[in-house]
Amino acid sequence: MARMQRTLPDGIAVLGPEVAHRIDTLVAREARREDEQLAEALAVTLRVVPRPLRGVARRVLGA
Amino acid sequence: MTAEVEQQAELQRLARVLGVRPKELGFLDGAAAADVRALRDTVADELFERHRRSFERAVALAGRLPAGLTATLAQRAMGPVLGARAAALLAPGDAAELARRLPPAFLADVAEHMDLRKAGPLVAGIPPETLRETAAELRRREQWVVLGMFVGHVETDVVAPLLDVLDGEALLRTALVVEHPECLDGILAVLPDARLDDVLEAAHRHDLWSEAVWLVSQLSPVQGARVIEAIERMQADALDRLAELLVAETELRRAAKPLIKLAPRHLRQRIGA
Repeated sequence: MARMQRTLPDGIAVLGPEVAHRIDTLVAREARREDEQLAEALAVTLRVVPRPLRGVARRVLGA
Repeated sequence: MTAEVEQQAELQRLARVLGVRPKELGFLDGAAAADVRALRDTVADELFERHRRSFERAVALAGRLPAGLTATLAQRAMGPVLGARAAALLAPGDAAELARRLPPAFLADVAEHMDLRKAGPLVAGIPPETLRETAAELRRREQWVVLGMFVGHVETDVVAPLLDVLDGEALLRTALVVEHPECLDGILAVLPDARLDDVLEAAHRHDLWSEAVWLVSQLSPVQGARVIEAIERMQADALDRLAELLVAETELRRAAKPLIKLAPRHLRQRIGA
C-alpha cells in the first residue's frame, strides 16, 4: 500500500520521523486487515443471504 | 485525572483503533493525551474514509433486507470492527432496530470499536433496556475506558438510566478515564444520594480514594456539597480511613483541598484537616 499522507498533531510530529514511520506502519497494517475483513464479509454475506435476495445483494454491494 | 492516567486511557483508545495492544504504542509514551487523542481522530477518519464506499453499500443493503437478516449479517459477516465503523452511516431508526436485535455481548464488542464522534448521536435512539444490558456487559468486562468514552458524546439523559447497572466501583473507575470530565458534574447531579453513598463506600472498600477525590475535584460547589453530606453519612471506619490517608498522602491532601474547604468545621476536625 502506498505511504499515507496524513497531518500529524504537532505534539506527535515533534517526536520525529521514526515515530511517524511507526504510525504509518500500524495504520497500513490495520487498513490491510480491514481490507481482508471486508472481502471476507462480502463472501459471507453472499453465502448467508437467501438465494432469492442474492441478486439484490450482489447489485447493492457491487460484487 | 492525572496526566499519566489520561495519557494511558488515550493510548488504550488509539490501540483499539489500530487493532494493537496498548504496549505496542510505547513509542508514544512521551506524547500528551490531547495529542494522542488528535492522532486517534486522524487515524479513525483515515480508516473510515478508506472504506467508506464499502460501508455505504453495506448500509444500503441493510435497508433492503429484513431486519433479522441484517442483524445476522452484522454478527456473522461484518463483525464488531467493521460493524462499528459502518454504524456511523446508519439512520437513527435503523440503528435502533438493529441494536434491539443484537445480543448485548456483540453490542459491547461494537462499542469497544465505535467512533462516538460519528455514532454518538445514534445511541440516544437505542432502546434503554438494550443500552442497559450493553452497559452491564461492559461493566462485567471492566471496560472502564469504553464506558468513559460515552460520557460527553452521549447526552446525560441517555447516560442517566445506565448508571443503575454501574456500581460504585464501576462509577469511580469509569469517571477517572472519561473523555470529557466537564460532563461529570451533570452525571453526578442525576445520581440519587443513596448511590452517592455507594460510590463513597466503594472508594473505601476498594481503596479508590484517589479516584474519588479526583472525581470531586471536577464538581461544582453544589455537587461538591452533596459529596460532603455523603461523607458525613459514612460509617466511622470509612471516615477514619479517609482521615488516615489525608494525613499520610500529601498529594491526596492537596487534591482534596477544594473539598475540605467545603466541609463544615466538625468534619474538617474529624478528618484531621
